[in-house]
Order: sequence, then C-alpha cells, then structure tokens
Amino acid sequence: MEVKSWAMMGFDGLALLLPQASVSTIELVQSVQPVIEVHGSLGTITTGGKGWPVFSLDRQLKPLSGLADEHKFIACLSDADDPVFALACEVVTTISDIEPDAFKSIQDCMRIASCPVEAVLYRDNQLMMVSSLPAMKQLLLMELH
Amino acid sequence: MAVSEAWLIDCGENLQIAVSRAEMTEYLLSPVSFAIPGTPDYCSHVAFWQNDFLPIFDLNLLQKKTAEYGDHLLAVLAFQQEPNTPLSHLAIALEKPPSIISVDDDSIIDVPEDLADSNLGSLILSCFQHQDKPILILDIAMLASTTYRDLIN
Repeated sequence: MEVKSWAMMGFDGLALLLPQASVSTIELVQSVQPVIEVHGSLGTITTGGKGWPVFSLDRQLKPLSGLADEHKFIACLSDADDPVFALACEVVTTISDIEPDAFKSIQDCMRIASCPVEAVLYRDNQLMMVSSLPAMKQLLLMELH
Repeated sequence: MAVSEAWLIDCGENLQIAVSRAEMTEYLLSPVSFAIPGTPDYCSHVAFWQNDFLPIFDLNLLQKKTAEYGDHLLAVLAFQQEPNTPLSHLAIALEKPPSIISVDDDSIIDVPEDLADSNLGSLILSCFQHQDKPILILDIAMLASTTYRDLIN
C-alpha cells in the first residue's frame, strides 16, 4: 500500500478506509439538499461550485434508502478534481501512521464482484475494511442498477 | 486392504468430510472471526490466525445456502495451490470437534447424488462410508481457487 494517509469512515459500526486523497471535503449532513439527480442517491451536496450525489451504506456496505439520525458527516469523494459521489457517515477521521505491513490482503477466493474490500487493517480493537474509490464506485453501480 | 487415518470434520446438517493428518494444521476452539462485506455467503468471514486473516469456508452454507454464518469451531487446513509452492491455509467451520478415524479401501462408495449435484460436486475427489454415512474427500486447493469462486458465483 503506497497510500500514506487514509480517511476512516464509520457506518453502523463498520470502519471503511479510503485513500485520504479521494476525499475533497467533509461537510455536515445538514448541508444535503433533497435534490435527486442520480438514481439511488439520497440528495445532493454542493460546495465550491461542484455537486456530489449523496449515498449511505449499512454495515454490509449495502446502500441505504435514507439518511439516519446517526449520520453526521458527508465525505465528498473525487477523482482528481472531478466529483464522483459522497458518503454519509457517522464518523470520519484521518489515519496516517499505518505501517505498510499492517495491511492484510483479502484472499482472492473471497473477492467477488460485489466485494469492494481489497484488504483489512486491525487497529483500535476493530477490523477496518480497506477499499478504493473505483471499487466503491463499482459497488454502487452494481447495487443501484 | 490398505488402511489409513484421517481427520473427520463434521460441518453440520449431516455433511462430513475427511482430510489427511498432513492437511489438518490446527483446531481452533475459540476463534476470533470478522465479517467481510460483499463476500460470498459461504465464505463471508475471516479468522485471525498467526498474524494473518484466513478465509472461513462454511461448507454447509455452500451446499445448501439455507442459513447465515454463525459462531463455529474452526479447522485450519494447509494446501498448495500449485506443486512446489509454499503452503497456504484456510479455515473450515465445524459443528463439533474433529476426530481421527480409520479409513480402508473397501469403504469407498459412489458419491450420493444430492451431494454430487450440489455446489460441492466439483470439489469432490472421493467418498467413503463411515458409520453408515457418506464422508467426502474434497479438493481443498480447488475450494480456495478463483476458478471455483468464478464457477459458483
């Protein structure tokens, strides 16, 4: 893993790690506008003149049909400077002091198309799921179409 | 008549397999396991073992797809994906502790049709009878292969 810094997002007890470089900005959930421009999204968040369709996930990484009271933050994810989607989550924080050998790969026999988890990290008494923006985008496309 | 010893593994719901003494690496009485989202139902958890995470296969779920993965005892099995490669490991969910049994050549039987037609069918190397029950011998390397993953998903 060459990524130096990770964004850790919490969904109903599940910890998901995405490269920090994928996160353009973090907003409060109150900023979500009830504008549905993308199928399956829960609204839209606009900041800096750019808009992101908002999704949220349960602990199985399945898209939810609405925002929950526990959702406090919106992580706006971008590919370079292009908005891709945003994730509503309960907690979001940055982790940057991970030894490369702390990541453990998921064996290929477990990795089917619906699995965005590429590796795991045991830290702070929990197993965190390591993924990437392309893998999460693929998951949403599969789940919502 | 050749007689050999094997570990008998009870996967629950009358599904039993046998593995060689060399394949059985460890029996975990209190495994620490974690769910991995998006993975196949029959292989949806990993177990922490020797500073790594092993895939846990629930063969009963693989055969029948009738329940969710629950807490289990685990058998850690060793296998080689290719000849002359390092050993790899996986875990099999057990219903009860494994036991050593004697197997002789005369106990070989045809694979029961329901097992042959199940998702296990392409894994079955052989079958023998023990205490009036069919016991399967499976290709463990095939179980852990992407070929098998792609075959049934």
